[in-house]
Amino acid sequence: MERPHLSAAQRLTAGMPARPLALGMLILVLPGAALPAASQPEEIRVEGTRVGNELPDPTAFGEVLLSDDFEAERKSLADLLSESPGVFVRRFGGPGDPSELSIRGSSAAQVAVSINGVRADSALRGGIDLSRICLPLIERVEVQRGGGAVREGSGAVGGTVNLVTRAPDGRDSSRADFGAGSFETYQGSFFRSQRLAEIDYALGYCGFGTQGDFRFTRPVFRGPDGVESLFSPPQARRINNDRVQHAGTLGIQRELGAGNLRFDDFLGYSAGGEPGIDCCGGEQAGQNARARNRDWVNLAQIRWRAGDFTSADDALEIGLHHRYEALRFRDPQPRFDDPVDLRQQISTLGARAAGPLPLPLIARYANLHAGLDFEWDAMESREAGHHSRLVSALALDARWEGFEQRLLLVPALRVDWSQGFGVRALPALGIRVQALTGLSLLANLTPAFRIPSFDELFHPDEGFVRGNPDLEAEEALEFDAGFEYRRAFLKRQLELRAVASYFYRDIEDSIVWVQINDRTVAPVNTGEARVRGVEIATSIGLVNRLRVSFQHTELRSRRKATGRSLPGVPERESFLRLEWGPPDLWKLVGEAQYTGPILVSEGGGRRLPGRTVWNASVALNLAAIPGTFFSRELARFWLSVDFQNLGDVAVRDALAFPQPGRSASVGFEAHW
Amino acid sequence: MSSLHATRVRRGRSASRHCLRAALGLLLGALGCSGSGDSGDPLIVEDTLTSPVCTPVAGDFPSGLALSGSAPDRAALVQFQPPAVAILDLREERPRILALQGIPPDSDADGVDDAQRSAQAGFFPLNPLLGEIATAEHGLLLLSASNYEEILFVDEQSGALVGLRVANAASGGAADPSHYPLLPPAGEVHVRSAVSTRACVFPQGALDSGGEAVEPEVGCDPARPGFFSNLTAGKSIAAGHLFVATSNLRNSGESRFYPGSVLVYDWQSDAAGLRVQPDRETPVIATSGFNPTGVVTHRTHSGREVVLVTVSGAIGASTGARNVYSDAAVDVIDPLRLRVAARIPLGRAGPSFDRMAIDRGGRVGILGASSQRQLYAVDLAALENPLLYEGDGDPVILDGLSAGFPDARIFHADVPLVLPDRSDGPPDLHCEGFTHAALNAAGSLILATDQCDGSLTRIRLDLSGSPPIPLPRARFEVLRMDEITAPLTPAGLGLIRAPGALRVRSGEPGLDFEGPDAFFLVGLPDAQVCALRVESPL
Repeated sequence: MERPHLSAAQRLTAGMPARPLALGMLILVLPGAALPAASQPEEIRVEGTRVGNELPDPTAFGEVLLSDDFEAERKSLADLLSESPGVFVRRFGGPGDPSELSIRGSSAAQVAVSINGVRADSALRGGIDLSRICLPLIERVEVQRGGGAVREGSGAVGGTVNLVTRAPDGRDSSRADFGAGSFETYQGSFFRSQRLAEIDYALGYCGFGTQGDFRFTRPVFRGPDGVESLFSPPQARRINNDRVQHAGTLGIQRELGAGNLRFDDFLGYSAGGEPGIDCCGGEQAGQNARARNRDWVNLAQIRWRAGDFTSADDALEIGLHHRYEALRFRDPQPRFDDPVDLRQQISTLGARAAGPLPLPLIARYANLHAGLDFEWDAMESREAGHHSRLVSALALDARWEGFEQRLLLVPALRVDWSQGFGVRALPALGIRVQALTGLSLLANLTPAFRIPSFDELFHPDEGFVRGNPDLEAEEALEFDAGFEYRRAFLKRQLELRAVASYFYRDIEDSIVWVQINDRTVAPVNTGEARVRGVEIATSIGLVNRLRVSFQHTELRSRRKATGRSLPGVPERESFLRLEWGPPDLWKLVGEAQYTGPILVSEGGGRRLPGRTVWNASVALNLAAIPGTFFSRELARFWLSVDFQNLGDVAVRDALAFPQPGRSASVGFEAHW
Repeated sequence: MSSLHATRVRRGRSASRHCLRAALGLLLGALGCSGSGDSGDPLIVEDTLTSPVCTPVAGDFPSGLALSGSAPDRAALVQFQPPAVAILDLREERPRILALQGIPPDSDADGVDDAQRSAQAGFFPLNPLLGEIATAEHGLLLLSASNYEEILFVDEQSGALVGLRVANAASGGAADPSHYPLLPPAGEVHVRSAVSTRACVFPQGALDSGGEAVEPEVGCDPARPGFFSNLTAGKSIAAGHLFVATSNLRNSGESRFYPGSVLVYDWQSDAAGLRVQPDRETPVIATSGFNPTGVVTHRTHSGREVVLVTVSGAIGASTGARNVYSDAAVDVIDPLRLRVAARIPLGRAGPSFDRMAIDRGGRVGILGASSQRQLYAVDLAALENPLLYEGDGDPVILDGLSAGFPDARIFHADVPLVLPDRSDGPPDLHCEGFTHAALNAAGSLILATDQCDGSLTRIRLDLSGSPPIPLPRARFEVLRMDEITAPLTPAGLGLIRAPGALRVRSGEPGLDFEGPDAFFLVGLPDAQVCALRVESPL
């Protein structure tokens, strides 16, 4: 039975596990404790890029991206995320090449990425390579902008991303897709969900392969005197860029006692060439023709949840998880050196518990929620040795509503202890005010921190690069405020959403890899920096045929000591998407993405040019055509073709890493 | 009803077939649809000014700077990536780039791209990595390039490559033509824009700097220990020869070097122009230590030319005194007899890789340090003794212990000229030194940049009277230290820092020229060339 206090956002995020849990507080939990009624905003659904708060944290800015909203568009996870305001996806090549995430000007390591609520970002290097996650295995992506340290702990400086895999839902359903595209790229996936006796299971597999080599245009440098300098030849071919990836998910659940027991596993494998940077003269452009890497990751968790399963914050939950990551890099013939064969492994064992904490004194006024988190990381490397680290945290948050449910206050506190980096208390406050029908005002004051990754601390001394065991943790404080507006008009023939937010973040002791002498690069804590910006996003649906979304981000950053901007992210980015067509029959999608100039040097003097990239796709659902094999046998059978970078413009997010020009792919997607 | 349904079914099937055909067509089209990103605007990376006295150039760590020998307001700068030579105008407060010439993929103009040529010869596919540049005769600049290993011929006015006649070793000489795999075939003379410095070296010493035996190189001679020269460094012309130092790195991870060598080429001019080819009798001179770097020609007061080779010794990838693994020296090569006539030992000094700076009067030679905040100096008056150049014995060691020969050392590893420490500089453990030195035109002032501290130190040099040999150390006086860039500390991130090679204009400032008188290269955060007024009035 649906509880009356659940918001549309909470219903959409049903089943989403909470991060901070309270094992030691289970005995305090009183299931079914009375909760104050909450506001009930109008529930509307707009396909395409979703804007507005549908996140576990009702005061945070962010959105939930449902991968089914983009079916038959052959998008990658990086494509999906790059359509979110405040999010910049930095790509280091084409299909299968690494890509990483920046939120509100953060580094990749300053974004906490989870899979099914368990941290998936690498404790070794921080951040996550988005190319390793196969989108067909993902049901939805929850993007929260702004400091999320109270829920996620270390690393959630710019924001958090939770990837929710397709889960067993008690029904028999299957889906499969296959596509082929430019650069001899192929991808296929299969997913099956079924109920067997009292057990629901879901099994997913995704395979990817690419030859990966592509021709690219090399940069032209123009100095202040107007003289241009260019590489010769002006174009080169990306080499040694092949890659094979396999990923699988397994979800099993059954009722157990008063609750539900669930096991989830995500397994990923990737192997391919490591061409390195485009740096030098000649046809080979300084690329490495021989280096290879291979990595695999496994993320397993088992959890038992009781109480209200549809609300993470109201459920009692205990769980264990294990993450394993193994990396190997080989260069059989480096010049002037012995063959390189680096192997690293890192393993994380974690436990968590969480639930409502109905302290009688507080329960009269607010809904209190508590969680405990433990994680133990251990790294093993032939070069860097053995290192381990224990982290534990207690998190508390309360929800208080007043003024006829128009005001929601969410004070929160996290007390975090990280071995080697001490104890820190992180108080946070979120506010949500329902000002008018459909209009909510939001504000948050959130602290954040990031303890250095193992690589930053212990990277072996290779002469030209080494770690720094003396690093301090990064500390940040962020404020954001803005509004959300959602309304449906004309008997729901017109649906409108709009979100605008302003954010301001101070960060101390940012960790940056810098040249510490003429031959050596190492990570160091730099001084204070400030990032501020504005994000706006709108989404309009018209007569269920035309859907338009637009987002724009303005970002300004400044390093206090130098007055210079932080490199690596554009100062502005815009995204426009038009989707036309009757649902489930055909759709035509056009997208334009403008990315402003990107500062690529710490000195503030060197910028990559801005660019506008146009993409388009067209898809037809043959199962919607009556009388065909597809209509008889399948729920959906989409044939699609997708074009990326139609204008064939030269694109780079990092100076030394080229991206392909125009490309295309075709494929099918079937559901039954 | 059934007829309508049948019609719909037929139409549906037909549409379905059309769609599948279209999909097949799209598949084929999509696979061939890829572009290279060249349809839009060029990918122009803008470099903007971040200092009123510095000019950014592409890439990081520009590798060379040479003031023009014929045009006092011009200089040539070596841009590391994209590889190019820029011609600078020095008349304003910051150097301005007048022209820039890229190095083509076939840098030596042998008709085959370097990488391809390199692979054909059995090496990695290699392209030149540009290094030091120096003025030569006939309006030429000589530009060192490692990796592909060559000396490029550059026109001093335009920065463009120039073709000279290049030939391989003469048959029947000390070197076999097959020992120069990238030079023209034996007996042929080709017009090329570079001379290959990829040569077989058969060292006299059988051990590398790590004490490991040198194995035979199959591509040279499978029967005797040898290797292909690499890391082409400094070069100079003297007595009709081109001398090129090759550092001969064996293993960078272990900082091990093969024995050092100086390749000797005949550099002859006739009616047809300049001609370059390996010397018939002495194509290679072994240096007294590992890692020869800087090379400069010095003319003694008696008019004798000598070639001074800085032997830096094996150096690691770190910083500080412990980074220096073997002894350093200055080898004095007699260009007429093609032998090392003398050696000035410097101990564990680890001199930096720039060529020796020599005062106008030719009395003092100054070297920077690769791993410490200090300078070294030698007294070149010790090279005046003609007995040094007689006989065929071992080189004379000019350390004061060789009977009849003075000590040429003024400052060396045991007694360095220590530069002042900057209070907000990096800790020595992280970064110490990498100094470069130059002298003013009058020969009265030594200037030294320090990469870690970002400082410029002025040292008065007193050459008045008839000082003894070696020049007394009291003749050197540290005057002041200026902070010309930020230090290499985290707080300096984003600011101009890491000053490197330093050059001072000839002529009297304010009289012979109006602009800045000193110029130095900067490596971080971007490559820059900066101007400085040391003695030149505003």
